[in-house]
Amino acid sequence: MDMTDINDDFLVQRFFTENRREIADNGFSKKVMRHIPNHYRRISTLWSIGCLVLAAILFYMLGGVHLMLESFRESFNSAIHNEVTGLDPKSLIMVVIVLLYLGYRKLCTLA
Amino acid sequence: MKQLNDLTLIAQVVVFHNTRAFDQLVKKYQSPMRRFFLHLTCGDSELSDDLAQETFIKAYTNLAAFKNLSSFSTWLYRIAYNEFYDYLRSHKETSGIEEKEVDNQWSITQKNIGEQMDIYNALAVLKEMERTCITLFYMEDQSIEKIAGITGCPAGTVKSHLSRAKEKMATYLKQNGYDGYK
Repeated sequence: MDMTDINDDFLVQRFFTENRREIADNGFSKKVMRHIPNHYRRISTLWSIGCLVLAAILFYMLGGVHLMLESFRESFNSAIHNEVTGLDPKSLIMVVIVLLYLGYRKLCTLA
Repeated sequence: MKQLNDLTLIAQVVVFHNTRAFDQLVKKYQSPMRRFFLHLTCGDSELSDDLAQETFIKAYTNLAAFKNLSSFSTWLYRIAYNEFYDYLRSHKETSGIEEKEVDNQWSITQKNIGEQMDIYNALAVLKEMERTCITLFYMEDQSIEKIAGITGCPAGTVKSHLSRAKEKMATYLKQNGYDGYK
């Protein structure tokens, strides 16, 4: 490699380095994901539903429902025993709904 | 949160068809892929995005065929390279003009040159293969061996393309006042 080659290499390399830029996503990924073949999305959905059903069955068979009801009852009883009069049953229902929803989302993520 | 590595994400896509995992791969590689196409097309952003999208869709549908013999990025560049040359071939078949004319046509008539950056004008003086090699080498930091793997050319041929491209670009840059770097 002679001196001219070295200079050319330096010149070109520096030019490319100075012109290198990252391209912002700007919705490109979303566009790509919208065009992913549906076949796989359907399989993915079925897989998620299957896992959810399996989790629900296991939860029931391993006594999860009983445990959950017990813990709710205990919490409720202890709250009453501690004379927490401001406890709103509607709020409690909302909390249960939110927890169930979060549990469902977590299961879907795992699937 | 710690970024999951490519292989973990690929496994999730292949085994569980987890589209979220693929979404992460798209987000990670969208910039180098679109930049690669932008340079190959001398700044045609619309065409670059179309080709990049096709590349990712092909990668998704063929992900099970990824054998981890090379890195995921090299595999993706190979798909991108094939996508570009498929586009070029179909474009040539419809227009019926020769390679040199396509090169010239691109450098003169392409519409979406974007920011009219000097780099696109400089790349337009090169032939497609030279442009591919020099972009992969200097812009995407790929080694000669990897470029040979991506393009399917022997390493010696890649070196020749690189050498010619470098010479042409250096001449262009000097003619346009870029020789004051030293």
